[in-house]
Parts: sequence; C-alpha cells; structure tokens
Amino acid sequence: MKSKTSIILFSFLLVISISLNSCSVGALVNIKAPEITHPVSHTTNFYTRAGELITHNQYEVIKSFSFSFTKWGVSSVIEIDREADISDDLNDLISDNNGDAIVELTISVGNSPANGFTFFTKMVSFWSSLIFIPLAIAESSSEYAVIGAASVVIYTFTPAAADINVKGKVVKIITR
Amino acid sequence: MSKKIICLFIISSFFFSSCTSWHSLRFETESQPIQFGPHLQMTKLDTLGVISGISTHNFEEETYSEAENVSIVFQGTDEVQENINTTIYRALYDDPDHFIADGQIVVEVEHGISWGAIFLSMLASKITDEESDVGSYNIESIYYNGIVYKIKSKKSADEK
Repeated sequence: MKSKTSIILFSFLLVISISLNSCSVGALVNIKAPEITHPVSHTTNFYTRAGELITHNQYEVIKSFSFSFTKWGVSSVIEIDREADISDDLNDLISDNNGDAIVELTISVGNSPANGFTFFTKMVSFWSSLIFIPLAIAESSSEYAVIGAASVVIYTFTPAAADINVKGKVVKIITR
Repeated sequence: MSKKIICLFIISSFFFSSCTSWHSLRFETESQPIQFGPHLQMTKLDTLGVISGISTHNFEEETYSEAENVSIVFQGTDEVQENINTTIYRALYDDPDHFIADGQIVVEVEHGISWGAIFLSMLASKITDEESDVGSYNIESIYYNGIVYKIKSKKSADEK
C-alpha cells in the first residue's frame, strides 16, 4: 500500500515537473572561417590586407553565390556545440572566380524538416519513460527498467538539424 | 504489426514536420566593414573591445480544429535581443577607422511544443466545450561575436 502511494506521488511529481517545461528538440552550431585568405565582409565594404578601405564603387561583382548545408547537434536538456568550418568553401569561391573578396555575406538559419521526426521520437521516448519507470519500480522488473532507462537516454540525447544557408557576392577590385 | 508501427512513424513524422522558415542576420553600414573570420590587415590595429548580440525569430504554428473546418494559423515574430544592429552601428558611428572583424556566428534551432500550453488548451476546451488548440513552435537564433578594431594612424604607430 505504501509503495503504491509513493508510485502515484512519484508519477504525479514527474508529470507536474515536466508539464512546467516544454518538450523540444534543438541544435547549436558554431559557424567559423578561421582559415580564410581574402577579406569576407557582411557589409558592402572591406579592408584590404594593406589597410585600404574598399567601398562599393571600387569593385565589380563577379558572381553572386548561395550554398546550403545541414548540421546535426543536440540542444535541449543538454547542449552539444557543433562546429562548421566554411573557410574552404569561401576560399574556393574566391579563387575559382579569380576574385579579391566576398561582400554582403549573409548567414541564415532554419529548422530542418527532419526535426519533426526527431521531435516525434522524443515524444514517444517521453511517454515511454513515463510509463516504464514507475512500472519498473512497482514490479521490480529489469525489462521495464531497461526500457525506461533507454527511453530516458533517447529523450536526453535526441538530436536535431539546423539548415544553414550562406549567401554573398564575389568581387574584384577595379584597378585604375 | 511492425509494418503498422513503421507506417505510424512515417505518418507522424509528416504530421509533425515543420515548414522551413529562414532567419537571417544582415548588416548595413555607411562605409565600415563588418568582416567574417579573422582580420587580414598587415597594418597595425588597436583593439577597442568585443561586441556581441542575439537575433531571435520565433515562429508558432497553431493548428486548431472546429466541428467541420480545419484551419492552420501561422504566426511569426522577430525579436532582436540586446539590439545587435544598434550596438554595432554605435560602435562604428563615431570613427570611420573603426571596423569589426574576427566575426563568429553561432546558430541555434529549436522545434517543440509547450506542455503547459497544451494542458491549458485542453482544460479550456473541456470547460468551453469548443475547439481544442494544439500549438508547436520553431525558434531560430543567431548569436554574433566580433572584435572592434581601429586602424592605427601612421603617426601614432611611429610614436609607439
């Protein structure tokens, strides 16, 4: 009788504590370009290596570019920071087009449609842990304990994907 | 049985799939550069400080069903915390020799539902005996970090 009361109390507290939070999947991605060889600017202007300021009327646009990629990570109960190095992509764009710099670099982020599926998996593991952990305690069953523990692990480490889009313009300085 | 479970997973994943909405961080300045990655200047620079900010886009999808109709409501809000653009422009405003480099960008996405909101909507639908709402949300955040530099004038560089 005492154990039944504690199970009900445990389940009640579990539901209350979880209901105060939200259930979500997330990803955290650090976008870097530590190895770039030419100036890359978010605005229309850039400084050359020699410290000369180049404005929009001192260069010609060679090519507008846009590329996207998806990066997986974990950011919900715990956060795992993933890195995306886009140095090579930017260097290749400049060298392939014989450019001097990149201007108007815009980085965009979006939730990947795959997050809908991982979110559903997390929901299933949530309800599974809610059912099997109290059952494992009540019936001292190792099978229920394994399912409950696996559900908690899945719930904690469910990944998500970030869709990242990089846009910009490769430019060449007009020599006078 | 296993086929049914797989089908249920696939159908549910489509049901929960979020439509992709892009959130961008754009900068516009009069003449000063905001450079991504390390500064490449060979000239001497003064480091003036670190600049950072967050830009968040919150997109809610509310699906609600009435007796005969099913409607979908999309709502999106942009929230720029710490007003990143104002901070950056203020840092650049006073001196044309100022610019930002060593830029790093961290992006974060989140897709989920709020248990509290679902509980309240279920409670409300029971009391009012009307339609029930189930809400989900997408959050996209962009964190920006950079260093404000000033190109040393030749005179001050020679003095040192």
